[in-house]
Amino acid sequence: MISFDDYRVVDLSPRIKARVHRVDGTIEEGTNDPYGKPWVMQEGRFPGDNSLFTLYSAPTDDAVWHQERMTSHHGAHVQGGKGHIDHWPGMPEGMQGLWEMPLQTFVGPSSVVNLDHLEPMANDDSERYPLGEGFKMKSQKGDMRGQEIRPEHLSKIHRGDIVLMTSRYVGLEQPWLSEQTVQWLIEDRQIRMLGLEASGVQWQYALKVSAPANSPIRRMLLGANIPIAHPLVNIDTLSQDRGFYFGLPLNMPKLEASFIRAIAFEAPDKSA
Amino acid sequence: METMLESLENAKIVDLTVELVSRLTRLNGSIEEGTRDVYNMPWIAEETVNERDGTIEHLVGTNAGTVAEWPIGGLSGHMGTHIQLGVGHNDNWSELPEGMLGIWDAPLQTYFGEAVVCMLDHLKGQPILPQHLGNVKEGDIVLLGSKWSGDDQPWIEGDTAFWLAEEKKIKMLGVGVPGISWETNTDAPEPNNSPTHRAMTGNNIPIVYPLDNLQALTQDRVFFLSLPLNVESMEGTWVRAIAIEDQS
Repeated sequence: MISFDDYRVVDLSPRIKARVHRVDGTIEEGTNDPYGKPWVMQEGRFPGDNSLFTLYSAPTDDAVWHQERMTSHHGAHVQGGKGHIDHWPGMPEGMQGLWEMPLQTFVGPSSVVNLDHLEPMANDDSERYPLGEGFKMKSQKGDMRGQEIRPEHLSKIHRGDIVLMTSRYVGLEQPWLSEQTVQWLIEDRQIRMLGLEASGVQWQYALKVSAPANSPIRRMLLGANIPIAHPLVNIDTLSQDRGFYFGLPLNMPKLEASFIRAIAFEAPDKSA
Repeated sequence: METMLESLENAKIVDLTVELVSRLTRLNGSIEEGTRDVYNMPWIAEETVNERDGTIEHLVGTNAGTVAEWPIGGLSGHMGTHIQLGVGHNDNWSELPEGMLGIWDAPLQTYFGEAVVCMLDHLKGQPILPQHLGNVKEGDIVLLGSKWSGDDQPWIEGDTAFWLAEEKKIKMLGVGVPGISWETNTDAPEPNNSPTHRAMTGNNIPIVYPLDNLQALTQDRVFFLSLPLNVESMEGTWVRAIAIEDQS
């Protein structure tokens, strides 16, 4: 029988503490996810058996969230193309929703890519960095910027892998995913899914550019039916190049993105 | 196991989660009707545009008082297949033990591992007793199912629930619904109410239900996984429950 008994399990989902409005009127303060989103709940009492429940919902006068509802993008989540970006001009036909993908998309052998060695640099390549600061929001030659992630940095990825990617860098010093490299991940490595630490890899850029040039990385991956899971944590604590990943979406057809509990297993270290 | 780390070829993944189709309000105001789970619980969502990048995201639930068939508005963690423990859920009941855990307190290892599959088709409309569960080993995750529904479902006797929890020290209880009537005496005066809830959550044994598709399992023992969301103070959470059968 399949067993992970001797394996080390690592929690890749950030812990959020819910902000709870209790039935007695008290409020328990919560925390935010890595992107700053809270998780607000309202407690209720089920008369059928006098048990308590919590609604994923904020009162209209809540002090930290501006409306009753939150999205399925709070906390660790996975997103697919259909229902999320298939309204963008230039997206391919045949994009799938999460609910249409086989479960094996979200479960399986994974490669762990830690890009700590891609130290930010200040050189001529800096102007290629896809984000910037200042009036033009562009980077200039000589700015301290993260490096482009190239296929040679990803040589340990096997064909068909789920890929978990991180680095210790933040902001404009994060290494960045270029279109060329993502094309290689899609066509050459045929990766099944990409999981990204909350911070560490720059992949969300050109967000306001006119379609079809906007959000190229999201377009390419979701257009190829490769879901993206984020914001994850603890990828940096995985000590082996390979592991086994679980990060399944809820079974809610039409849900364009889903909350997940993502975990990874590492095999016992035989050298220890 | 070494091979599974590199390939899923010999692993049969079986989805044990109820499919719950969203009742979805589109950007243009049109409404696509959804489905309900076996407890008549819906999943409701509405499209909204993320102004940061022009993507569409789903707002979960609806505003209170705006949908006649779901006036409460928000969705609890009990929609569709979900998992629950005691703190924040039934620790308001009298005579439950000290030291109960919330679903977020239990170690991750609580939520996956070896499961015994108990299909009880032979118990039409009968109580489930310990002698019917002879294949349960100490520390198992226990998955209970049958082909029956309504009054024909076998039911978990209170004494059996405490036997599973305290003698067999099971790790988690998963219940197919319909198939198993897993709780009794829900409206009895405390502390005689809801013995299965009391036995399980009182012993920090999560309950995951309603499961679906248990009849698709072909092996008596499977790897089972049902991970709660990582949200402190959420007393029950939606899950995607799966089993994996080794076909090597």
